Amino acid sequence: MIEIRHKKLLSQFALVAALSLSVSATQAGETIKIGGMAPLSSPGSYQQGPELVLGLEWAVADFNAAGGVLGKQIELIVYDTQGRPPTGATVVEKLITQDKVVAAAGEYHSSVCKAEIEVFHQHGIPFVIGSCWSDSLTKAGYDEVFRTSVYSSKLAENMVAVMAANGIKKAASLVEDTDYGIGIAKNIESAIKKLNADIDFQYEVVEKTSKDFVPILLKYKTQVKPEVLIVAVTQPGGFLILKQAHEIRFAPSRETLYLDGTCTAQNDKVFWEAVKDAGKYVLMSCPYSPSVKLTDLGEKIKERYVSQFDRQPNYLPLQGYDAMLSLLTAINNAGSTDSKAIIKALKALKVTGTRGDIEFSQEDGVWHHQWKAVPTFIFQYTEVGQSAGDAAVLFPKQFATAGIVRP
Amino acid sequence: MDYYILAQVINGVIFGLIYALIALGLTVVFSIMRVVNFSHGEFYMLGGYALYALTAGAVTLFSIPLILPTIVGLPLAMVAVAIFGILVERGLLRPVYTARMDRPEEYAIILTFGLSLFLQYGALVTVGPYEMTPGSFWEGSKHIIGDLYLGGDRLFAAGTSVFLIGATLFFIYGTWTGRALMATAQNRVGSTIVGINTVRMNITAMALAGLLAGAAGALLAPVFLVYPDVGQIPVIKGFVIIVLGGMGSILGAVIAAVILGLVESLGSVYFSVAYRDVFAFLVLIGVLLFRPHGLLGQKARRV
Repeated sequence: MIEIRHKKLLSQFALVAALSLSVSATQAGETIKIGGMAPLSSPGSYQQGPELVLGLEWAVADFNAAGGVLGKQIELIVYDTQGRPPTGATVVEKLITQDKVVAAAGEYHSSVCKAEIEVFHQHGIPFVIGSCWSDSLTKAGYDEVFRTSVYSSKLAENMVAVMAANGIKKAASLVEDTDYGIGIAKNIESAIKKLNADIDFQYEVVEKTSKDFVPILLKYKTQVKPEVLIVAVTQPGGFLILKQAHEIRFAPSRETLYLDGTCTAQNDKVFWEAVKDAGKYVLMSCPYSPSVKLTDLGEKIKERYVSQFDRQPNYLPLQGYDAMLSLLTAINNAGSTDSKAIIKALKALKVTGTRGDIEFSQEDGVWHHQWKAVPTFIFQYTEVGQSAGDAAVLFPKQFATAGIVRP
Repeated sequence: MDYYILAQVINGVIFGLIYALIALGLTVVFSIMRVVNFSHGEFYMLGGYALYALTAGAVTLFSIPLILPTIVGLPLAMVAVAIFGILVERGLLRPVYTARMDRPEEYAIILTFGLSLFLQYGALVTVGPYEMTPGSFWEGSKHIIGDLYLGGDRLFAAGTSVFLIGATLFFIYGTWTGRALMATAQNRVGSTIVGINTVRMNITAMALAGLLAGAAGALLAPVFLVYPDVGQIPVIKGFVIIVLGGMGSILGAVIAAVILGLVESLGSVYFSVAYRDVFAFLVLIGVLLFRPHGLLGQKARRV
């Protein structure tokens, strides 16, 4: 008579794992096929992928419940990309050539997105990025690629602004060996120059699959002595760095703040279960705030998530929902499933998403087809076990509820 | 010696001892059964989940949440994984060896590889993707020297590793069963002729491997968390260690593990932390160039 408690969490994963197969919206009849990609197994961030897919699914379910798009039901076909760029490219090729999807949304890892956008571009199929943050994806300037998620240089500028406002002169970072990780370090360097901030910054690239980060943390603690340690390593590596920095009494401490650049700390129940008291005083840079009011749609999604999983959502279901919402609204507006018509409609799109009014910039560079006004926040946990909704908001100024608290 | 270097050396040795525990089970199975157990990393994972299930209150038994002290949970987790090892030997490996087929070792490799994937994906679907931490063995940070602090759980894992490595060496070299295991490793046919039950030796080897992997998984769960693919990297390091130490050499594996821990720790800070996991392979290539049979491996002719 053994019973495992994490049923809700498990059912969520089981549900999404099953989506490696196709999620058929209708039993029969003609449908519009939409592709979805996310890491659902190792070595990808299989902790994050299911959350993103949930957002994609819910958007499709809501559209289908309201009668579908262009009078047809939407059929979402989701594949596991395992966090591997070659798998991502193969999966997209399959979605386009075999499953005949008219468009796609999703993906979490920037390096995988990078491989995927090449295939979308080659076939001229529109793709709305779910949660890949690397600037290089929109900088590529492809007509087919749009992004509703946050992007690295914006996060980097926010982090530098907070550091400068708090008189921080020395920062060090550990970033994962991916496009996202290295990209964010380079963006912090650029932001320091752009904002003319007097901050001495250095970073080291770490293998995200490593388990022991004590050697480099000891080096930072005894030789570099930064005032803030910025970590851009997805879980579980990011959690291990935090645990180990706490164990060697490096950070978070009075001398050295700890800033989680990946926002994995926002998944509060998972975060506290993994890091326990090491998480107190951690700052995190996130594309969503549970304590700031969302749009009406966003509040409904949040309520649905809380009632289903008994915890606050992190940013991923919302980003997934926004990506799919943008895509399906554009197809509706286009009045056609022709790729060119969908791309044209995406360019002209104006829709209220879960976190604000979405429209895509037509500027060049990182803002090419990027939702420029995508919200971003910096928070701090000040108590062990604190809910993400109760964390102090430090940035942006109009939502700030407190200043940085040190141990 | 500079304090900073000393701190890195201490951490390297501690990590090496932890590696040794992971590698020991692998080397025991390989030397006795000639099986490269690709699912050893998942045995390690099961040790972590077993400790979590027994100590974190996540599992209820007749409506009572199981919250055993971690020190009680550790041996129970070890025994649970040892039993699992016996079941794997009985259900999967023994049929391969008794079927009189050619190249049973190759079949066994494919079997253990499949088992590894099955267990990993099984954990993903049944337990979920998120990281879990069982209770602590030794809470908080412990002062070592100067400004060096290390986690109590990491120190406990290293200390227990020393004990378990010693106990394993004593068992192998100091008991009749251990000598029978060694004899089986050296000459299976000869062992049978002199009356050693080699099937029983296979069971013993798998049980011992399960005990050691379960111990490593449980001891390291509070340090490195537990999640479905937690065993992937450690088992790769384990393979490097057994080749480096000399295939089948238990003492060689221990020495190789400590060398690897030191090289990774010092290499991370004096070269680049980005290539931490590459150092293992550089050392392996270097040693094999000069000692193809590993550090303590013996040039031997199979009978």
